[in-house]
Amino acid sequence: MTAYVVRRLLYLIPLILGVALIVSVVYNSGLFGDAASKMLSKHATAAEVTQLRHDMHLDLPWYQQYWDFLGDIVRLDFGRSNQYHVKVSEMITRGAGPSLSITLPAFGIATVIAVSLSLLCASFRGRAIDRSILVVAVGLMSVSSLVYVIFGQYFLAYKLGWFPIHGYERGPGAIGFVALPIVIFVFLTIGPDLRYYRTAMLEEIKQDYVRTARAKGVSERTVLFRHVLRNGMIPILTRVVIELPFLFLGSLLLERFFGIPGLGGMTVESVIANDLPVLKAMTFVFAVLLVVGNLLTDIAYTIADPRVRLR
Amino acid sequence: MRWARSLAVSIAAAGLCGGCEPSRQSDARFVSIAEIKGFDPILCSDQYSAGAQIQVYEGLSEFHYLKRPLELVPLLAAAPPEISPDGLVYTFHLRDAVFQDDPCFPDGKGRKVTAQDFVWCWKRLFAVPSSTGSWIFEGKIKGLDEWRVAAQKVLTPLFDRVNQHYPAEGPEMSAVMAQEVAGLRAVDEHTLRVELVEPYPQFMWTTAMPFTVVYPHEAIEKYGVDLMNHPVGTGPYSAEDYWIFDRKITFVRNPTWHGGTYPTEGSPGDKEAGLLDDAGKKLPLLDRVEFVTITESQPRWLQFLDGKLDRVQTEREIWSQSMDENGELKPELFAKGVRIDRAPMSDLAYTVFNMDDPVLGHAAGDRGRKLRQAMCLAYDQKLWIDRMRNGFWSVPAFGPVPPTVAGYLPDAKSRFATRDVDAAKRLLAEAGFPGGRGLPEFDYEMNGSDTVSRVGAEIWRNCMAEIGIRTNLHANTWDQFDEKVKGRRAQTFGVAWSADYPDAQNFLQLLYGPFGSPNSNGANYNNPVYDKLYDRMKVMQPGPARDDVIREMLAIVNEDCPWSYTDHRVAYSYFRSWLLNFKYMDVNPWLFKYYRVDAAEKARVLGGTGERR
Repeated sequence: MTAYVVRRLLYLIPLILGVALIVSVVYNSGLFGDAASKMLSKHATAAEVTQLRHDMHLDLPWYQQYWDFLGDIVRLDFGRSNQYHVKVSEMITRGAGPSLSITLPAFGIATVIAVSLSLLCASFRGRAIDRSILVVAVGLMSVSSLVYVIFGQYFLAYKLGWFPIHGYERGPGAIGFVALPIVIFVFLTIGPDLRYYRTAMLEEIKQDYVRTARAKGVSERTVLFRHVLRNGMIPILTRVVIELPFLFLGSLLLERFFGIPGLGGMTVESVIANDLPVLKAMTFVFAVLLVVGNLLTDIAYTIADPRVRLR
Repeated sequence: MRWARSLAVSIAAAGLCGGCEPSRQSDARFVSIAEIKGFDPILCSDQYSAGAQIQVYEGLSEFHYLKRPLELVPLLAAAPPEISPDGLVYTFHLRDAVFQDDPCFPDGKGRKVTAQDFVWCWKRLFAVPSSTGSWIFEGKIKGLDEWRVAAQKVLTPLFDRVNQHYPAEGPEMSAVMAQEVAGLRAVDEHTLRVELVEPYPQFMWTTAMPFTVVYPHEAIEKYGVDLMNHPVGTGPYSAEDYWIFDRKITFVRNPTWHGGTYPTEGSPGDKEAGLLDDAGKKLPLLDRVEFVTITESQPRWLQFLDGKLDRVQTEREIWSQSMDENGELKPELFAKGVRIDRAPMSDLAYTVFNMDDPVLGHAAGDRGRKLRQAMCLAYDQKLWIDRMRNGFWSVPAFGPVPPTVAGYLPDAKSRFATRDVDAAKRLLAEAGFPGGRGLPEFDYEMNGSDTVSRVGAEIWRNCMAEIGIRTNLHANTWDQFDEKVKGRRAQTFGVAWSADYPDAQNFLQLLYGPFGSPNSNGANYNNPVYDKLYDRMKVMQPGPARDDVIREMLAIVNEDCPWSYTDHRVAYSYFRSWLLNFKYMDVNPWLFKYYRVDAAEKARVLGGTGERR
């Protein structure tokens, strides 16, 4: 497996070069406006904008800008935000904590609930309890995420006073502020997760080995938790690992509405302000996380299912 | 539900919710609706960042807190400057003030502010190519433009691309920064002498702008571009517990502030409103202020109702919840201690005709002028104000200069700003386009693609359709819009301008020929007579003689119609009854040092546990 991992890591190099090329060309194409002009005031003259564009290397041909970008990657220094003038790496490291403080616990809770309910659905498939859970899951998926946010903020936070309406504090004080976003995140993700896991469990529960186990008189609990759940781990792992990079990105909507200083809100702000260094860094980091996530998925398969061999 | 309540109560009991409100009843909490970009006064000049900076930094002058129209009063200047009879030389004597204590000083103790500090900071403002405020001194101070050319020759190659930084504080620049500029000199430690190229009556306004504040060169030398997160000023507050994306800045009283007192005079009505109750008291009246950023309207409004914000501005989403059909605060909110303040703003919304356009513009001569006049007459300002400003947030505009600024002339109103569809149709026929026949479909560029932009543009299109003019609406991102305007490719479009300082010149320059796109004259209006008058007016002190020139200029543009005037906004601020001394100031809506919190009133209104539910 070591050789496999090394080989996959080496594959990362051309992938990263490709991602960097696309990121560099797209963001320097002028598609998102002129970063130099945005940095200056409404009184700036054309000559001033031209000077700043030149100094920022924005007037260089795409391949030279690509070369600059590769240099940034090698140094792991994505420079500074155009609008905030703080180091992008610092923005990312300081933003990752608040983002993950919502997404990680919410994802963990949602996954545990979804897997448990999917097992329940699978064991009672076609019956009232299965159908009821399914209806609720579809209902949860059908409601706009904004409705959860507005309802949670107005009713649970403002009317009932159970949670702070908005804000964030670093350290243990964060728990109070992230509690409501976590609850909303769970409600937002549990529906699709549950449906996916239910399908995976139903696939397993139909298998011959389950029928055999039951015929041998193995208890339903053992069938579900020892046989079905274990064999259903591959699709579960696939989904969990694929979603991990997205957790790092945070939640664009929740962070903005609840004032969580995470990467989601930062990315939205950067898109609005055409903050190229931040956007380039975020796109690049996310792409790398996705590639690494895929590698981890493959490795996790071998742990979940010894029949899988990596070559 | 019991489990959830128990959990929440446990969280609150553990004190984990402590950060969601100020630590003491007498502290205050205010909100910015946009991200605050940092504390470098030459790089971050948007209203929100300036609102934060002004708590920490100070300049030579400030605006009188209560007087309207706005008046300047000395701040770090000990008195108003001595001005030479020809209006060219300004001599400022500085008061004794020290910078805040900071590790950038050798012993951590803030040192005395000198005239040389102003010279250094103003040179940096002018030399750094990414400065957002260099325009205020362009062509104004003797020798400064020439110095800049030389300075930028050294500075530009030093640009650090990765850190987006021009190191004006670097060792390579020290000789350049030390070079004498004839018009900008520290005569001695306490005396700053500024010599202008020509009279620049707006110069005094610039001494109250955030660009011209003073900070120690030691801070730039130590922090460089990181001054953004390390403000070192002379102001009433210092910033504590701050990192740019945490969306919260805590300001605490600066123990070394030079001091100041609450004004003893105000505008008519201020005394009756209780705004002079603290007259003569030592400032700042608040020890600690939190300034948070909340970009969405719902959490802002809910926090305000919950007593966790002391003031918010009105906005579309909360208007119907808070105001009755007469534009008055709903009684139930008044009973909960919500109060309202209305103040006219120094801005203008208008629709621009691109004068480069062959059909609408200069090339079309008299036909083009009549066409523009017809379009102005067809436009329904009242409908716009009803739909876009809820009928109350603005007043119709009849000229380019808002009523709140020096140089506004109430008698110089455009005769094409009041809707008259019949007259518009007649003018259109006179232009040779009866019922709009013979005219191409005009393009109207929107500066957004949201519903609000769309509604505003639809109003324009429908009004034009009434006289037979067809309009094609184009949704743009701001960048696309900006690019079209600066590239002179936008045929008609709506924009707004907010005053940099309260003077008519700031609005009239928007029609000055040499400032055509990509500069501020987006209409590309070019009238040599107007330009000559502008050249005369810009060097005149406000007064009857200047008013006569402005009147002539207005007569020209009101007849030429390069713009269709829309409205001037009115700021509606909601504040809580415990927030005392609040009076909205357009150029700086957050003046924490004057505010006071009545802790007893706050406790009464909130009833100890909050007033919601």
